[in-house]
Amino acid sequence: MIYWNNIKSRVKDIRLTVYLLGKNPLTKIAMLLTILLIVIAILAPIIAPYPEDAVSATHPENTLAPISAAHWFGTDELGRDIFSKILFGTRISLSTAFITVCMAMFIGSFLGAIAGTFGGIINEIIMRITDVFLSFPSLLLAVTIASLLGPSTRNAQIAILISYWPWYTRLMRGQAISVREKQFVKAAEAIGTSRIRIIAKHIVPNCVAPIIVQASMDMGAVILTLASLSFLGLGAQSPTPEWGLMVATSKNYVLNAWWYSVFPGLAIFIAVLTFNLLGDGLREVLDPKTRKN
Amino acid sequence: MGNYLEINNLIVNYKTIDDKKNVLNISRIAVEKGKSYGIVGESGSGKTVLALTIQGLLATPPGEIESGEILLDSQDVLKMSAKEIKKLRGNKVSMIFQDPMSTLNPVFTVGFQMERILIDNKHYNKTLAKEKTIEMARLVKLPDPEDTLNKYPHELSGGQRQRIIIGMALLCGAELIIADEPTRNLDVTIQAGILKLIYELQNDLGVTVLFIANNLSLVSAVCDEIAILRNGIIVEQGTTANVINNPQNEYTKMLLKSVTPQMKGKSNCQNTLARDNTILTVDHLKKYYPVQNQFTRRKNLFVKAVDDVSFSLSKGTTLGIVGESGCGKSTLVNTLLYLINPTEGEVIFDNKAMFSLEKKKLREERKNVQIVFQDPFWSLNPRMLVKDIIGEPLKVHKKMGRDEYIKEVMSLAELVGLPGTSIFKYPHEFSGGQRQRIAIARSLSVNPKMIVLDEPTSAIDIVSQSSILELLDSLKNQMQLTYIIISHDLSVVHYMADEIIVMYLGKIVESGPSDIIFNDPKHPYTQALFNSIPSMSINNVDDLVSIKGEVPSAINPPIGCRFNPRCEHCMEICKTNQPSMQTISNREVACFLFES
Repeated sequence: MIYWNNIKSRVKDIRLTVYLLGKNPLTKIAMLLTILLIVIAILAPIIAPYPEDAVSATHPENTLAPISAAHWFGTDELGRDIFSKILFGTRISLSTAFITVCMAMFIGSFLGAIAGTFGGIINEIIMRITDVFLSFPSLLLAVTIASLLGPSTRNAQIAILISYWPWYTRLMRGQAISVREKQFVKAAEAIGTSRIRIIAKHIVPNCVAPIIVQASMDMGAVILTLASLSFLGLGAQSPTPEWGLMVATSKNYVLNAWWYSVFPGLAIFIAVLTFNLLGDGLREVLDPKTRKN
Repeated sequence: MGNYLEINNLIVNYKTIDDKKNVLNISRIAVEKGKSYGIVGESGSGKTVLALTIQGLLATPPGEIESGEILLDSQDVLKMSAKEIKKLRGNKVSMIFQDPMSTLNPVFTVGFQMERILIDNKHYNKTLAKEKTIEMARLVKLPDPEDTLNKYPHELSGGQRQRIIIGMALLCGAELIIADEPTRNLDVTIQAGILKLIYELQNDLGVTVLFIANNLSLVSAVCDEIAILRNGIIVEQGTTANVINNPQNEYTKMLLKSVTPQMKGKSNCQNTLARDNTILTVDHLKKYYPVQNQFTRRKNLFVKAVDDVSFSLSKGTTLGIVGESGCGKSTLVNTLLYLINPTEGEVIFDNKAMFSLEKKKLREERKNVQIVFQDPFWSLNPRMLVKDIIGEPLKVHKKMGRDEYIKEVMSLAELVGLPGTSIFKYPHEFSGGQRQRIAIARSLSVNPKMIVLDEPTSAIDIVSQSSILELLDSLKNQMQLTYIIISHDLSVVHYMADEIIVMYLGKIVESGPSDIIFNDPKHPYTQALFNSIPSMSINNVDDLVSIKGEVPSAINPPIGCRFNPRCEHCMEICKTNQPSMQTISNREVACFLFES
């Protein structure tokens, strides 16, 4: 009974957040689309009409076939079903973007929290390193690192991670500095709470809202960067059904097979837009300044 | 004379997540021209909604005016078009807001902002506007008007800013002024000056004043008639004297009672018994903040927040510290608790020198001194459940099983008068008074020997205030606690404290047993401080005393006695020498008037 009570109020808090999210029609659409994207990613092998096409099957007899009942989005230069490839592409984009953003968020906010709470020399060291990374345009930095490491999906992920973590450090540090001055932190200090516990229990939980907003916005940006790297040949390699790679290959056939470029492009567009809208909606709800009841 | 403002059957609703909530249901308010009308109520009683509705500023949605009429000079505001209302605002109705800092634009000089109003509304040319502005600055009694008007808002003190706001409200000849807690963020000594000003202006210019506050004694000093608002309904209204001397409604009676908490029978024998075991000694404590110039890095300038303060405290007594804001009260206690590093001096608590303890010992020792902060909204971590907030000290200092822990926390919650099951909620589900109880429960959970109360009641409603004080009082006896209570509300200090210290600009000016000082204050500053507070016994604004001038900057405190520029009894010696502590009639005073 006691433990149920414990969970109940936390559930109530989440329910209120979801309710507030649903009040904005755009956010509602974004939420539905996010769920749809996740479902597609999980169920890709079941939904896709030609799951083998996404791996390595070729159909030389049916190259660059236009849209038809059999191939909703047409086929590519090797006769593979574009619709199936896009469905599998969702899987790749979503999972790599999610893992990358999570790691950037974890590393970045950990360092940011330490820099903001301790201040002094630790803050100086962490923040100056961050400044070095932030002084490069993030896409340029990612391209440089990816080309140094050699083209592969994993190396592209590492490259993106390196160019994205500093943003979280900076954001977290700013939040931590403002939370550090709050009275509940002083009270915890007066109780005799250790520094580490103060960071974990008081500072970080009160900084998560903007971090989550940033992360959901970055999901879109990372999907786009990943596609860009693949487009440049620095990310996923053929025959991986990666969206950016598909657009890159399709550019040779764009005049006689428009569907080949348009549908993967559309997939990137929808995914990025979805996460940006979701981020906007989350900010409105989580940021106490814009939160309306 | 007829009624200038008349409100009939006004019903205002607010839409929330699941349903409509009635926030105002006023059957009738009538204010005669040139009179002042006070509206008193707790926060959330609908005072501000009323003020906004009168000016047509209510945000719809979530607000919704269901029915009723607001007659302003016999015109119904609610039936006016947006354009007509806009014309009305500023010209006929003006509002004085709570917080003068956020009302003024920080990037323009105050004079420019005042001129702008005239140029925009009355289409005056620049010279005429300037003339009028200076005239108004004189009217609101700003010191050297021409000079002050060329300053930016941050260069002015709170009191001066509020005077500017009042001036702005009157610039276009407003006939009705709505003052929404105009003195809430000001010190008592400044507050008295502002109240006097509003009162004088009302008499001189014949404006009608609607005065909104949560402090009954404040309103009763200024207003001709008052109404008590509760949950959007007026529970009692009438002339001030009538309401205060002969309250009919239970709620009004409760309000009146909570304003003047009954004096507890202080047992003097207990005091003398405890006198021999000193728990806390503060020895020549100093805290200077260096003022650093960004370019030259000069470090020889200091804000002397606490300057050479010494006192000692016996076990089981309550020490009150009073003074205006900026006098160093909060810095003093924060340094005591070693939340801030001291510049110089020593604090001996329970025979241990706090500042020389090693890190681990200090953490251990910290549980013996706890602090309850002023603002219950930021002193509780909003992301933690109440059980984790109250139980945090237990987790830090004691190891115990989960069931035992929950049980302990529940009993603590019940000790401070909260239902045991409430510990599974988040802090935002509680009211200010309840949150303060949570903060008290947290400080009690490690069985401290001393609790520092930093303005424990100033951010909560007056009704909860007296019950919090009673709770603190009973806990003190129950758990053998020693309190240090800081407050600018003297009635709170008088009620709680056995001994008091009066501080001015980082120094102690008077200290001694509370009863003696309250009955017969000796230092001119103490006298002025005590007389500037509106109370039920003062029914006339003229009886209020305000200290001339503002608190000087602590960077360059006046040479000699720090109070000398504002003191009425200032002598030559005060301007050159610093007075030392003298013991006269059972208390210590630092003033040359009593130096032998």
